[in-house]
Amino acid sequence: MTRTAHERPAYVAQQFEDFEQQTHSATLGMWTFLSTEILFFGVLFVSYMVCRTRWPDAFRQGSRDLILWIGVVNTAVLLTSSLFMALAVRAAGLGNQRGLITFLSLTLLFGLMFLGFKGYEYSLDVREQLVPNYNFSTLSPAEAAKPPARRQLRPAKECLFMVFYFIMTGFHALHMLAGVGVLTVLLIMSARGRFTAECHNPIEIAGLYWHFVDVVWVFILPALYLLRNG
Amino acid sequence: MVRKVHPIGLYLIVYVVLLLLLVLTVWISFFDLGRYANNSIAMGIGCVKAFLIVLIFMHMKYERWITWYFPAAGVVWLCIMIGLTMTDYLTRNHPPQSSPKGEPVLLSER
Repeated sequence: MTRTAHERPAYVAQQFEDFEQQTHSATLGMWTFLSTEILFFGVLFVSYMVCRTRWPDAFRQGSRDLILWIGVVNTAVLLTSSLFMALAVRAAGLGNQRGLITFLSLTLLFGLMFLGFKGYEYSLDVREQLVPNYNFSTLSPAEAAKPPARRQLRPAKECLFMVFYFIMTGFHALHMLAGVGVLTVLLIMSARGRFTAECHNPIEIAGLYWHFVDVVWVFILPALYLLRNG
Repeated sequence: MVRKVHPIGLYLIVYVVLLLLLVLTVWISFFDLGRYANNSIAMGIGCVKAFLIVLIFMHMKYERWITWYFPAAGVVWLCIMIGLTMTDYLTRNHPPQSSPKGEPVLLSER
């Protein structure tokens, strides 16, 4: 009880010595969570590697059957939203309220655009009869239209590739949805003027999460889409 | 205050570099350079992109050294998991496409 009110701003929680310590522990807390997330997605990548080395031909065909342009466009969309998130954190640090709201909205917009493309891609996968346990068929609709002698069947193990595809991209999309929820809350809070140049930890921490989801996609793109000759 | 505000140009440069790397990795994926070259180039460029995002967008470059331990812990355990798993699966003495010795046969393979 030696501290006086003017030494200790209201936004410093009781358990911290000062605001610097509070900021630092918030960052460390988020990184602790993110390192568990590295292992969560890591397990999926490791089992994908094991299966890919065991059935290389089926997995190569799987990569070729994915829609490359959607994967590439989605990467660009996600990188752009990451840029806007970084700019939003910067605007918050400058105390620029309008900039903060603009950049948060743009981040949110590009995040939703990513999810839109993802949903469109899933609908195309359904049409291509690539969904395991639902309509996976070794004979694609395009091949079924050809005369029987010229048809080329998909390898049966490509079904396994599609399982990995849906689990990895599905969990990534769930993380995106969580991020969209967090950003919406932050947008409402910043519209009410809750963040100042000194105190905007939530923006910074949400930014870390958003960039991490981007990093996961940066690995999903080559692993699933780009190994068409791998 | 502890936080520094970084120039906007730095973020834009990193963003442009990330997009260029994306174009490069997609372009390379069209060539058949052999399985190992294709795979390692694709994942290697992915690592470079991830490192750029972590370093600049996530401000890792400006954090104290102790912050580095937290993601590093995750990455180290991931490397252990990949390393130990793949030393097993890549060195099993069995022809490709067949069920490895000692592994239960899946129902679909019977």
